[in-house]
Amino acid sequence: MEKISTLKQMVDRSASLFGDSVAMQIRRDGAYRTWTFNEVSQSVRNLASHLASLGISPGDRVAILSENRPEWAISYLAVAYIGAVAVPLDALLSSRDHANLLKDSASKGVILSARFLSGLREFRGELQDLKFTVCMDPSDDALSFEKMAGEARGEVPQAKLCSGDLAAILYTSGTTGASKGVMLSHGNIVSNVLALAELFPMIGREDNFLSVLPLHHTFETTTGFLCPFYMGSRITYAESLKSHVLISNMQDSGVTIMLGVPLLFRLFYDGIKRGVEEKGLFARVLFNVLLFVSGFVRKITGLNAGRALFPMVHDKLGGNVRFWVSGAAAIDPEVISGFDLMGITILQGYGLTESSPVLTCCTLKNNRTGSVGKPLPGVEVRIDHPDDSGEGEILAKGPNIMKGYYNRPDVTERTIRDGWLCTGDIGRFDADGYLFITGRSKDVIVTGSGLNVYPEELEMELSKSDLISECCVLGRKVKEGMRKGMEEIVAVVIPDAEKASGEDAEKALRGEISRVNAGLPEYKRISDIIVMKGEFPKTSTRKVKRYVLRKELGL
Amino acid sequence: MSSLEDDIRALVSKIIKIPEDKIAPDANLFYDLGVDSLLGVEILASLDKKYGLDVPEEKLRSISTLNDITALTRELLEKKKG
Repeated sequence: MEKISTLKQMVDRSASLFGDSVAMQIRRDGAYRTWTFNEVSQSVRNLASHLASLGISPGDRVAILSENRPEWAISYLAVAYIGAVAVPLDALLSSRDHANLLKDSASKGVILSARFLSGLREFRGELQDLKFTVCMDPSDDALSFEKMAGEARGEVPQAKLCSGDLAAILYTSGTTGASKGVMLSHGNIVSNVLALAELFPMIGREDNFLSVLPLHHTFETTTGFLCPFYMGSRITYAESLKSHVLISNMQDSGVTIMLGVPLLFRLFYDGIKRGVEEKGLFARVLFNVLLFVSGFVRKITGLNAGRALFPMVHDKLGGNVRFWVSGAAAIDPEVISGFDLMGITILQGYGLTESSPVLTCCTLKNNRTGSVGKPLPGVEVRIDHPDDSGEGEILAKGPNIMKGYYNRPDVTERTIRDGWLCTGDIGRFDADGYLFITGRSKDVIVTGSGLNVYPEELEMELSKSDLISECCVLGRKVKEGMRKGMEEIVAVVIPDAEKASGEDAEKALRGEISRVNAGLPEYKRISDIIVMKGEFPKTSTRKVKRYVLRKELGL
Repeated sequence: MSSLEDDIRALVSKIIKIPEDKIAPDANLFYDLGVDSLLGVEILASLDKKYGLDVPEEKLRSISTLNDITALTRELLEKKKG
């Protein structure tokens, strides 16, 4: 079969190669509901025919908004199948934000789950472009996904797609003015899938991916959904993020691969340690002895004895885990080495939504702790103006680099220079070509759950307050607790000299922070406030010198 | 005998790794103690495990303090008793 370059070809190829194998499943009311590759393909084509009959043409935008479930995946593929553009929305954002994004993308349709219907209803009057709503669950207020995916309406239009056609717009934030829509083409996304398939030829029909991370996140879309779909693997959609439910899903569905974020793996790791501690002194000593033996065997023989030494851990996780992948943020090396000694490899990768997303990744053969691996086949990564230690901004070029930001040519021009994506991340290569991320030059704050928070968005909100003269939002490493070492959001504010002075000033400012926080999704909330006097250090163009401020505050 | 609030404080402390004495009943878990949605879900999971409940994840939107968690647990335990 010839090499594919569009998502439509991917749907046809997977149905043809993997037909009656199970492609997706989710546990509902205690039993697994499954979809074979043929069923997914049929549902995709049925839904695509309905979308076309509702007036969706190539290039039109259709938004998707739900928790992780097979219907999300089918919707995404159906939109792409007829050359329309999927706009995946972040389920954690507010209804106001969803409305902003529907408006900005001029989406003609939205496919959502029932829990978002009331929020949409609230802002429906503002959405002039929106022609229809499809609901994944039974509802009297919207078109039925089940009916549309169950039976075609006429012929499926045969869109002549090429790799450069736009497939998706992914928004980095929900606030008007602060949001950027990353435009990814079919070729961008498919090239990333193909490169990953080349690096992981051992993944196939026997594999079962647990889908945990939100599907609107490109990391999950490409690596947790499209990769297994291309490679003939099964995807099990987690019913819940509760760790005991995830473990139960792993146990009863035989999950082999899971993609996660650092905090999730930290929770698993601590859960295992807590379980051992609760069993008493003997268990604790035995556990530590086994860890030592595993490390010793590894050092002497180079072999990993973890699986043999920790059968109880593997049994608890269903007994089939081959490896896990951590992305979106830096993971604590202790968690990686702890799991490694127990026989579970955690591979790290690196990328951005703007690169569809993977730029580099470790593999089972080429894995170096602390590194995010080597560039993917076909992707060039270089360090811009490296200093004496080889560190500098990471630049990337390749077929996976976005077409640009939707309606933001100015920002696109600043981000892609001479064909190179300026990542804003700082890194260095070691002598063997492994990339290490060492810092960040851009302003974005990355939480332990791998979610990006853009300071300008919060600064815009804070600056509306009369009490605040100037503000700057920065990321700060958490010093204690479960999120130790991860980033939290801190607002540095200079109070208005007249309106916020005296002893109660800080209290009043904290009140303002609470007010702003109340309107934000949990991951964007400001954790702390630092009150300063005077003026922030600024450039000649009056922009705050964040790195100087950060240094002054010892952050 | 420890109260329900004490038990829940101990449980939250274990999850978020903040000493019990730093978790005030009305401290905001999200603003003051750095809990995020994943940790929040894990707190609900630990309530499931300890009290044999099945706390819906959506409840995370309605709790922000230790007091809220205690009240929610009490309510669900009473419902469970029937």
